This record gives sequence, C-alpha cells and structure tokens, in this order.
Amino acid sequence: MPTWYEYSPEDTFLHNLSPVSRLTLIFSMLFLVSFYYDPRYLTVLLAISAAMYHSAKVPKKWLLILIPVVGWRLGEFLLVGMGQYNPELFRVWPREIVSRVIFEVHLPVIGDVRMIMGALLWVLGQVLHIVIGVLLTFTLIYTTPLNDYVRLMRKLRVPPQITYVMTVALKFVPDIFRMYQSIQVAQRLRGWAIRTKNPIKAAKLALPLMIPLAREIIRYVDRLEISSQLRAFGATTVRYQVELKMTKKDYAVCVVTLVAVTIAMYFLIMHKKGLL
Amino acid sequence: MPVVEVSDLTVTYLRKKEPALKNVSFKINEGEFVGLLGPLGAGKTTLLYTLVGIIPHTIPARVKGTVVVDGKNPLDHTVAEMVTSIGLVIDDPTVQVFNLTVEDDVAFGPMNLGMPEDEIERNVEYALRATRLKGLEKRHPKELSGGQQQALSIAGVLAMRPKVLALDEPISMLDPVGKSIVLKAINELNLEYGITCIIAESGSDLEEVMNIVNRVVVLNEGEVLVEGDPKVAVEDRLLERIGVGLPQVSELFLKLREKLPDLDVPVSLEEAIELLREYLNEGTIKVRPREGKGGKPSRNPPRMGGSDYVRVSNLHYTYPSGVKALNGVNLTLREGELVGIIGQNGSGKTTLSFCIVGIYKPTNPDAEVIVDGVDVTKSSTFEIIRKVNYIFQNPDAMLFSKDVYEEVSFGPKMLEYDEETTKRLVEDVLKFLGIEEHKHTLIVDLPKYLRTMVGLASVLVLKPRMLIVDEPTNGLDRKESIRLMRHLRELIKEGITFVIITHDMRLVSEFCDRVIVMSNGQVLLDGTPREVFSRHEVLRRASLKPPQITQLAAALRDFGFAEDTLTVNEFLDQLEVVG
Repeated sequence: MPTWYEYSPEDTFLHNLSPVSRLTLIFSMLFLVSFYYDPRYLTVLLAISAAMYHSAKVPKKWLLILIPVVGWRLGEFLLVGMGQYNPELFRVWPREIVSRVIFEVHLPVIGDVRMIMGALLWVLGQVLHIVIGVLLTFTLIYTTPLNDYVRLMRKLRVPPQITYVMTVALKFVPDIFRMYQSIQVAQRLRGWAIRTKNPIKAAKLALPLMIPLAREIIRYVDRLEISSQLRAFGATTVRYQVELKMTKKDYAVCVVTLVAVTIAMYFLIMHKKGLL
Repeated sequence: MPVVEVSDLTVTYLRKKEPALKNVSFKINEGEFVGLLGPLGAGKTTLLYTLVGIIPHTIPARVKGTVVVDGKNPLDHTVAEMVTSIGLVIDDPTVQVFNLTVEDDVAFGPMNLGMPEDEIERNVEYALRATRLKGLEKRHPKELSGGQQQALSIAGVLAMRPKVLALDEPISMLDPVGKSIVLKAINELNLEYGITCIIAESGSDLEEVMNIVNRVVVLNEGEVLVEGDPKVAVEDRLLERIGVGLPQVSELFLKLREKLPDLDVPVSLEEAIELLREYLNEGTIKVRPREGKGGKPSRNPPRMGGSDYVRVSNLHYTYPSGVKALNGVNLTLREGELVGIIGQNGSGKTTLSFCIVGIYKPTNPDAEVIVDGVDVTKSSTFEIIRKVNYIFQNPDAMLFSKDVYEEVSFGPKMLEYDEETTKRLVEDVLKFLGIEEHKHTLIVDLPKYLRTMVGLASVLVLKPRMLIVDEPTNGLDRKESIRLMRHLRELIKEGITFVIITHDMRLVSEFCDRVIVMSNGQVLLDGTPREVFSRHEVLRRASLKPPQITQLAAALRDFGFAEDTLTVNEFLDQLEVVG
C-alpha cells in the first residue's frame, strides 16, 4: 500500500539536485520565513514554495493536513491577535492602517476586546508561516531520499550513532503511516467511522485506531531494538568516508539562494522589510 | 567439534510461572545444518534469543543451566560481543534492514564492530557474494524483492563473520520465489562456506526446511523431544502429533509402510523420488495408471459454487506512484466457493481484493466491479461490507477491545444495531467458530490462533456473504492452519463464500474448490486445484510450485503417475505393492 509523506523517485528539477543544494534552498527559505511577518513578503515566498511544490510533483492530497492544522491554530492566533490591540506594537506599517479596528466584541468578565488591522496582518502572517512551512517540508520529504540525509550527515562528520537514530526515525515515520493506513482500513471494514461532532465521543471513537497502532509501534520498536543489537550497534566508535557530488546546476542553486537570502536579510535588518 | 553446547537450560520469563524452556540439552557440531522444529510456543525463539544473549540482556528472564557458543557463554557477554560467534536473522526482513543502500546495510555490522575499512570491504564483498546480492550494492533495500530483502538481512549478519548462523522462521513471510532465494542462499552458506546453521520452523515451510537440514532438534512445550537425523522427527508421526505436520512425501511413505514394513521414510522430495524409482525399478511396487488425465478426483464432483456473486471486468488499477498493479482483470466469483488466490508478492492479489471491497476505485472508467448486483465503484464502504468484506493477515491490526465479546460486538455497534441483536449476533458467531468459552477472555491473553479467530469473528458478525481473507494461516503451525481451514469450509455450508490469499499451496490443494493464479496484475490461470496444479510449465513461469506430492508425481510421470495428483491418498491409489 503506498503511503503518504514519503520520498518518491521522480525526474524533476528538485529531485535531480544534490542534497546539499536542495537542503540549502529549502532551509534558506524556511530561515527567511521565520523572520518575515508581513503577509506581502510571505505571499511571495508562498508563491515560490507553491511553485516548488508543484514542480516537484508532490501529491496535492498531502496538503489536506493543512485543514485541521490551520483550523486549530487559527483560533489560537485570533485569540493572541486580539490581545495585540496596541497599535504601537506595529512600527513598520503606517500607524493609520495598523490601528484600524476590524471588529470589537464585549465579553463578560474580560470586557471589550478588539481586533485591529496590525493584529489581523500578524494572524495572516502566522497562517502563512504554517502553510509555507508545510509546503517546503513536504517538498523536502518528497524529493529527498533517506540516503541523502545520511550522506550529508556523514559528510558533516555527525557521529554515526546520531546518523543511525536519524535514519531509523526517518524510516519509522513512513512505516508508522503504513501501519496506521492498514489499521484504518481494517476498522472501516468493520463499520468504523467518526460520525459525531462531540470531541469526547470522537476521541473515544479514535481508540479502535490508536490502541492497535500503539501496540504495533511498541512491537516494531522492540524488534528494531533487537535487530540493531544483533548488528552490534553501539559496540564501538565508527568513522565514515563519504563523497557528495555537486554539478554546476547545484552550485548555481546554492549561489543564487545564498545571494537572495543575504539581500533579503540586509533589507530585513537595515530597512525592516518584511516586518509589521 | 561442538560449536553450540546447551545443557540443562531452563528459561523463565519475568512475571511468568511456567518456564519457556525446561532442562534443554543438545550439542551442535561445526558445519551442521540443524532444524529446530516445534509448534508455536514450543520455545524455539526463546532458545535462539538465549544463544545470542538477547535473553537475558535485552529481554529479562531467569536463566539456569549452561550455554556455550563458540567458546563464549552468552550470559557473560553482551549481544554485541556474541555477534561474531552467532548471528541471528528474524522472520521480518523489513525490520532488520536499517540502511539506505544494500552495501551500507551490509557494512553496518562490521562498522559497528570497529573493523578497519579494508576488512569491512572484504566482509561486505564476501557477504554479498554468499547471499547472491552481488550487483545490487547501490540499490535501496525497498527496491529489492521480499526474498532479496531477507537475503540482505542474512548478508548483514554474515558480514560480521559469525561461526553460527541462526534463522528464526526466515521464510515464513516470503512468497515462493523469496523462499527459494533465501533457502538456496542458506544452503550454499552451509555447504560451500561451512557455516553452521540453525533454522527454526513451525510447520508452514516444513517441506522446504527438511530438504536442507541434516539434523533436527524437536521442541515441544519447552522441552526437547528428540534430536538427531531428520528421519527421527517423522518416525511415529512425531511432528504431526505435536502440530508441526509432516512433509507430504514422509506421509506417503508412512502410509506405504503399512504394506511394506521395512520401508525407509524420506523427508525430502529428492530422497522420495530416488526411493520410489528404486522400488519401481526393482518391481517392489507398481503403478496402477488412472483412467484419463483427470483420473479419480479427491472431491467428486469439484465444487464450483452457485450463481455469480462478484463480477469483475476490465479492471485496471495504477497507484499514484505510477505502478500498475492490475492490468485488465476479468473474473467471476460464485456463491458457495472456497477460492484460493495465489501468486508472487506484487502480482496484484491484495489490490484486486481492495478493489472488490471498494477500498480502491478502478483507475480506468470502463472497469466494472459488481458485487451482488451492486456497482462497488459507485457505492460506499458501508453498503459493501455486508456483501463482501476483507480481513488483513495480521489480526492485531484490528483488535483493540478489552475482551473477546467487546471486540466482536464493535462492528454491530458501529452499524447501530440494537443491544439485543448485537448480543445475538455475537453469541452466534462465537458459538459457530467454537470460541464461545473465550467470550470473556482478555484479548491480551489470547494465543495467535485465537486472535486470528477473533479477527475472523469480528468481521463475520457483520454477516458478509463473501469474505476475502489475506494469509489466514500466517503465523500458525500446521495443526492450527488445518483447524482454521476446516472452520472456513464449515462456514461455506452456512452460505458464506470465502476467498483466501495465500502462499501455502498444500492448503490450497487440500481445501480450495478453485484456484486463481495472478501474475503481473492479470489472471494467469483459473480453475480447480487439479487443473491449475497440473499446469507445471505455466506455474513455473509464474514462479510458483505445486504441492510436494504433485511435484513427486510429475517427477515420476514416466512411470505412469498422473501429473495432476493432488493428495497423498490419490498418490497411494496409483500404487500397487507387489512384494
């Protein structure tokens, strides 16, 4: 059964990059995103991320996870946003824009709460952070085989114990998804479905999935531990020798990315571009 | 010279009163190939874990007695210290392969042992060559077949240069080609590289294992019943009595011995062919040819079911990754049949089943999947599951409740049946499967066979008229497999149609009315077991083997044996003892 959130070999620009340039590109974008709050700049990064996602042929259905994640976090952001009703918090955008009140409600005990434009932009920025983060992460997962991470870590002389733990963790995630998919299908065939909006009842209905999954994970981990011991894992210290090949295209991607990030950071630090 | 010496070994798991191994004593000499035979729960895995030191270093247990492997006592050495003396390969290759290329994975053990680079290279080369994986060094393990993945697990252990290679049911999860790849590799390791091998087996692959071992240790309920030449395990039907079963050729000769008391009982196909040839040539026995090719069938007439229940036409299915799993399947399944679907892993068996129960929708618009007159492609899962349902091979993927009653009642509750109907349905199904006395038993306390039965009950309670069961006997010994298959046959009388997906050709020949052979996403053969298993050439092309007794008859076809012989009794019917 094919699973979600797993590398898939494709012939795309991103797939064909060396792990060094691919990671440089994606991590640089994630780095920039973490500093930006202005939705205009984030929208540009969103467009670039979406283009990368599309060109790498990452399955669209992976993005379904955004619905619960954004839905859940949006409430939290709106609550925090309503706490930021002081326009002085927003020093980059013109005061008359950020101080505009979008809505105001009276709550018992708390009193009047309002959402100003500055806070709304902040909320929008937070949502964009999540969406871009998910797009880039999925692009990375879909375009990067586990070998690439390991080779890179070895090149960076990361201790093999850490490399192993990372490898097992990366192997573990798709395996767990596979287990989860099988369990879900098995229970659906017994009539299982979440047909309630009551969160307590819904949580109870998740037990038929969670209990077998927990049991399977424990068994899997136990077997993994035995298997690694049988391969003398942890017996001594080991050193690896790894070579990573870079093409002209890889160097170009790295150079363009680093130049773009440097320019963006310059404008961010010196001219506050990207902040609210 | 003994390389493994076990004396008076008693192992008791913590929080268990009964020991898993009781006063076990035996020796294994260098270069031997030992079969560790016994039913489920006999103590085989416990013994292997103790030999490598997993017990008690990783799995705590009270251990009494002496164990010496290659001069080391595993109780006094860590597992990492033992791996150069004894390597262990477990049944599931997917758990044992950690790394991302074949060569990295094979090098993993030697690197952990801190071997110098040139030695690592030499050992990787040796292990890849010995397991016939040379040329696949750069491949991702996922790109390998099941058999090659298990061969890779063996290579990973072998690269640490152990004196003894222990294998815990290494072929139980593999398809026929996988089994053959692994067994060939292990056999070569023993014969050409002189590695001492121990292979644990509980019955489903007994015939293959008996073909290659030169000594056996038979375990039951934690005790050694017998050890020595493999023939001692089949004499007096010992293996059959403890639930492991007998190779068909041994069974044949044991029955023949009733007329020829001095007859030697073979344990392997080759030996049986040789012995029968000898007796036929010297005239001790004669062949009584059957009339016509089909001859006297074992089930007369073959049950081929009632009216059409499932109709599949021009079914294609392509995974989102682009892998074509089904390439135009056309098929009709009839009421009241027990159908066996066989084929290599990846031949499309499970995908076809998922399309029939509506989990997957065909990827071509003109495909038709009609179940009981309903178009599955346009129906919801809940409409379909009472018409046709599917059970995964691992019952643990669905069991979650506290006790059996609660577990089985989950389905009816989900379909919002009232309490009284639920109770009646659950009690009926438990009674029918003969597990009503376990109604209030905790799921965690159930042995594998009963967990399989509870898994079956929890779907049967929804009263589907057809049930597709994936590898129903996986993880069961021969006795339990037969018990389960008899239950399925009984259920057919109640109006339920069964389709089983399996790699066990013997069970298919013994219990199924019809066999469908799948290959490359298509139906290659479809007919009665007799019709299908007599097509030796087509089966070979699909990398499948007929049951051992059919292979024996085919090997002796020049003497007049019918190539479509399916059972031991049918074979016996063709023999006439002269003197």
